[in-house]
Amino acid sequence: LTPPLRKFALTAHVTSSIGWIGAAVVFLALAVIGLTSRDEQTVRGAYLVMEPAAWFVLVPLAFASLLTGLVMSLGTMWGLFRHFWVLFKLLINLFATIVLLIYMETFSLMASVAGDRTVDLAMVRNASPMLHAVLAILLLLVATVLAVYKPRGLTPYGWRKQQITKA
Amino acid sequence: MSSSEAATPRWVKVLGIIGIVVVLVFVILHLTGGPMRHGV
Repeated sequence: LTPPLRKFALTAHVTSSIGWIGAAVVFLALAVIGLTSRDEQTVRGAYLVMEPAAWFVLVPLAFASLLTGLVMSLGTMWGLFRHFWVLFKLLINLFATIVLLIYMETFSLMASVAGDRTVDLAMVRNASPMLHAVLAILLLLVATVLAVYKPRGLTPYGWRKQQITKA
Repeated sequence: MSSSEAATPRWVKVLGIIGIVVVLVFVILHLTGGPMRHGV
C-alpha cells in the first residue's frame, strides 16, 4: 500500500474496530435495561430494538473491521500469518463475527417474543444478550491491546519468510 | 535470528490456552442450553 492509502486503511480499521467495541457496550446497556427495568414497554422495547440495531450497526462494523484488517495486514510488511499478534487478532475477529451472525437469529426470536403481548414479561427477559455482549467486549479489548502493544513473536511461517528474505 | 527468537513466546501459549478454553466453554454452554443459549 502507498503511504496515503495505508493511512486511510488504518483510520478505517481503527474507527470500525473501536466503533464495534462502542456498539457492543451499548448492547450491554440494552441487555441490562432489558433484565432490570420495571417498565414493561422499556423491557419489550429493549429486545425489539436489538435486532435492527445489530443489522445496522454491529454487523457492518464487524465486517468493516475484518475487511480493513485484512487490507492492513496484507498490504503492509506485517502480513496475515507472519506475526502471532496479527494472527490472534484475525482469529478473534473471525470468531466474534461468526458468533454475531449466528446470534442474529436469536435477536430475531427475542424480538418476536418481546412483541407478543400475551407472553409474560419474565419470559421476555433473557440473560443471553448480556453474556454475549460481555464476551464480545472482552474479546475486542484483547484485540485492541494486541494492536497497540504488538507483542513480539514470529509464527513458524513468518520465521521461514524472514530467513528467505535475509538469504 | 537465534533459536530463542524463533521459539513460541510465552504470551502466545498463555493466550492460546485461554482462547481454546473460552471457545470450548462457549460451545459447551450452547450445546447444553445454559445461560448463553441461542433459543428463547
